[in-house]
Amino acid sequence: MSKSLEKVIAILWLLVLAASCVLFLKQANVVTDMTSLMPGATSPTDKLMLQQLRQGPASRMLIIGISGSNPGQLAGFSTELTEYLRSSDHFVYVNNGGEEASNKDREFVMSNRYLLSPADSSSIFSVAALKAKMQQQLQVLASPLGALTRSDFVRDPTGEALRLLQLWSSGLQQPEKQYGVWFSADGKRALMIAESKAAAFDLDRQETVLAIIQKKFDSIKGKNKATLIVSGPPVFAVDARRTIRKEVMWLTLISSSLVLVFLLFVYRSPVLVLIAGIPLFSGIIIAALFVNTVFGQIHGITLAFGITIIGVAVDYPIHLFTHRAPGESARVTMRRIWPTMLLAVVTTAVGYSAMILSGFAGLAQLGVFAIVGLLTAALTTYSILPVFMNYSRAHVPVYGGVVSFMALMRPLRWLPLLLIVLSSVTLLFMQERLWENDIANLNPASKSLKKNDKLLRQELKVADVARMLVVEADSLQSVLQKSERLVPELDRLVGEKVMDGYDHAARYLPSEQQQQQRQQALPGARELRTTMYLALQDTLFRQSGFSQFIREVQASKTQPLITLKDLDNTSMGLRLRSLLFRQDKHWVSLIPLHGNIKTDRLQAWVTTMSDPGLRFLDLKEASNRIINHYRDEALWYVAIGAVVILVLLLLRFRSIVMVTRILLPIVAAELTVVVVLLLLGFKLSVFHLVGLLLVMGIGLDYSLFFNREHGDVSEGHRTTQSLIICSVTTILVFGVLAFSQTPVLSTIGLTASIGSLLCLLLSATMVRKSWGYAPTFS
Amino acid sequence: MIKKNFVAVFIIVNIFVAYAHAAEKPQWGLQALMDQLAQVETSRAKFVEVKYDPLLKRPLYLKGILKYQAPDYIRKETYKPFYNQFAVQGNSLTITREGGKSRTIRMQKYPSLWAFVEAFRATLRGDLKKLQRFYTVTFQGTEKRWTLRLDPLNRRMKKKVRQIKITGRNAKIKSIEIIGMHGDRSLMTIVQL
Repeated sequence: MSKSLEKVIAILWLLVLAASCVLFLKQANVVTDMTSLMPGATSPTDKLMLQQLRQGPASRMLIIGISGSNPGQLAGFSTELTEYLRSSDHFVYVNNGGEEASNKDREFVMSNRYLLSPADSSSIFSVAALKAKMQQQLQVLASPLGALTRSDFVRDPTGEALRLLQLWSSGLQQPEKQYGVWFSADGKRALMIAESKAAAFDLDRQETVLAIIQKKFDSIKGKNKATLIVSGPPVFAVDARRTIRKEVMWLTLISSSLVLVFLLFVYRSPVLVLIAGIPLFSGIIIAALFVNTVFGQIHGITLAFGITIIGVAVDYPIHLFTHRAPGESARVTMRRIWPTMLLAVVTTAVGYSAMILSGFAGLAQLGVFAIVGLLTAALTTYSILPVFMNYSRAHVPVYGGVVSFMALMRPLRWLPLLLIVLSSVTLLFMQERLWENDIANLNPASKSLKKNDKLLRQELKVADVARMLVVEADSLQSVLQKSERLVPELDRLVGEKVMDGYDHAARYLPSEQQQQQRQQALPGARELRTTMYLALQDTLFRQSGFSQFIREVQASKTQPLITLKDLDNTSMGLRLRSLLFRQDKHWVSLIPLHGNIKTDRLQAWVTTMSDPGLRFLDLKEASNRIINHYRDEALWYVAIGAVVILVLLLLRFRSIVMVTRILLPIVAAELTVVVVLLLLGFKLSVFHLVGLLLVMGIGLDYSLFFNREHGDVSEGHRTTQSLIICSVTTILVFGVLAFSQTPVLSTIGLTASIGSLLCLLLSATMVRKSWGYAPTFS
Repeated sequence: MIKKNFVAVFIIVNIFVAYAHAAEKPQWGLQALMDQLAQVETSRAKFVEVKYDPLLKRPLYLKGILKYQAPDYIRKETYKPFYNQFAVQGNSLTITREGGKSRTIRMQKYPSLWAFVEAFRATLRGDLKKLQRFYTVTFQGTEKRWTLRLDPLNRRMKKKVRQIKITGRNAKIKSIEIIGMHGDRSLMTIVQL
């Protein structure tokens, strides 16, 4: 290939990169919805759980607190903000406790009371019961409250509507009230809840909604010193994204400046430093574009994890620069080290490739990203970098320290094996607390946010919506009937303190069958008139006063049955929609459980019911299970990858001793990193696993280069120097990340930098004697 | 002639003005009534209440005792024809029925109930500001014979209560009349103990 052609290709490649970059920024479909990482919902429970995590009302619930002024003023702010948010188009539901029960709610309950009430008709409408009720009501009527309760009494003398409203709110603890709105018990904070229309993972819209709330509040309060706090899953997500973005920007800036200064110091050539980034950059861009094209989207996590695990590509240009012998053309250097570099790239890529087979979309994407990225970076190094290297100094001198480093490490040949034994023993003992099983602990939200959230939830007495029974059936009516049949059992469980309470859809929308039964049980007009006559005989009440009551009972007998639609615009309707919905061809009714729940006994009860359409779902437990499944599956594919690497190396070297020499330091480094992390008090998560994958790539690179066949001592020194530079660079990049406030970033940073250091030290102990300690070198 | 007449008219007018002025001087009105009521620390009274309601075959007569203790305690105890007791202290209303069963409600939860209670409590306390938060207050009469008319502002209460009328003499309340929206009316006559 002529020199000018090479130059043309190099320039073209840069243009392709620039174009790809633009293309990616314009076309890439980067998704951040965590649930899309999950496998294509295997079990119905997982499917339901994902649906709840993505769209469930709990995932969109905002809790709002206003404090810092006198209660009267706070109540005013709360009311004004509530009215504004209700009128805006962003919320399904906003409540500050402002009304006893909205007029629509009361009217719905009042006009459907005999179809909704679980009370037995024959006992409500008996002469004795009516008489007793009337005597009791006379006292109320005669009391100071009489004027207030009179109009309800005339319509509903037996008080069915009131009883229903009480029954429905009994499961839900209400916060304290002042000036008619919700307040914390100490009266210092007015409280509100709001459910945004935007899905929990739609962070852009969630961010807009949060900004709207803050802006409106600022304009309402004017110069008042009152402050607003908003909490809930959307706030966490938006805050996490903002923090990560900010941190990534700063940390990247710091670490790239450090690397820049370091490489400038080592190579004393701006050109080399400038082109050192090309391979990694090419790898990231091409891999991201490839994944986006193949999968139709790329997950934010894939991008972040992918960039991390192909971070080893920084090493490729360093090898090339450092191995250049005096007077050697860059092209020749490249050809000289290419076999080793290619082997490192291929084995690493093979190690990651097993992930492609995973059922988790996230892992498969990650595998593809890593392979494409590594190969692109290596090929870019091979074909493009030598062209530009001709514009810089001939070669990099070997520093004296390198030789001392070699002299120090080789006598420690026993160290990798010792570390493997020690780490394995430690791990055996720490087996129990190896994994982080609660993903809440990986929540990147800041501590103050978490504290606020806990406080607000306590003050608002928000029910735990994470645990529920799931009832499934083929049709709406059968799912309602099924949950109605469960009621006696559920009441028994409440009685036995297996749980404190429950809520269910059939409460607000009884099955048609149930409604018809209730209608049929209502007395006829003549019968009721007679009963009333007898009941009122010796009382002060005139029968003529209750004509509306008799009319309404009659109307209930023939009224159209209540349908889902009738509940629209009532607060029960909103609750109902989250409790009752279609999923695929089934209807699902959720029965959220309140208070202290004895999970074991509940699970046992579900088993004895032996109904496949009845399940117990613990959202928190289930989401932990999925994340841990992701982790276990990743681990499994990494193990497969490791076996493939072993086979590949055996085929290449046909020497068990050689392969042992290559792999021993890597295994030792990985195990030691794990033990160090555990001793530092961390528990392993999927993020550590990603760090460990990077360490594997780095380790292969170092080991293969240290075991390279080469001619002379000075080449050995150049390799050592190259690897030291690689390691320092990696530590600079990832070490800075370790200082991040975001657990995810600091985890990966810590794992990778400790791993890189260990890989360097341990693989250096394995070099052959022929690498020598020649007293002279050039 | 004309001049003489003019002087006479002038004198008469002057006397009138002076008299009117003298009568105006103490200017006994709503604020003065409230100030006077605010002086009362504690009071006890017997009451007889007549409840008229189209629902009832005949008016219902109730008898009992009222008690007020500054700043925020009021109690209505009915003995006849049945026993019950309504006591308000601070933000809570405690209702005790025959047989001693009682329950306590936080009034802030029920704005219309709260408004209703304040018609009596804020009046007894002479707290015009609070009264005006819940009602349009109209004053009529003299120190010896005054009437307060309270027209509810609360939306929900408006549907049920047309007006509350309180009459009195000095700092003593003589009667409370609650006029409902459906032909119901209760008139309570009060005798201080």
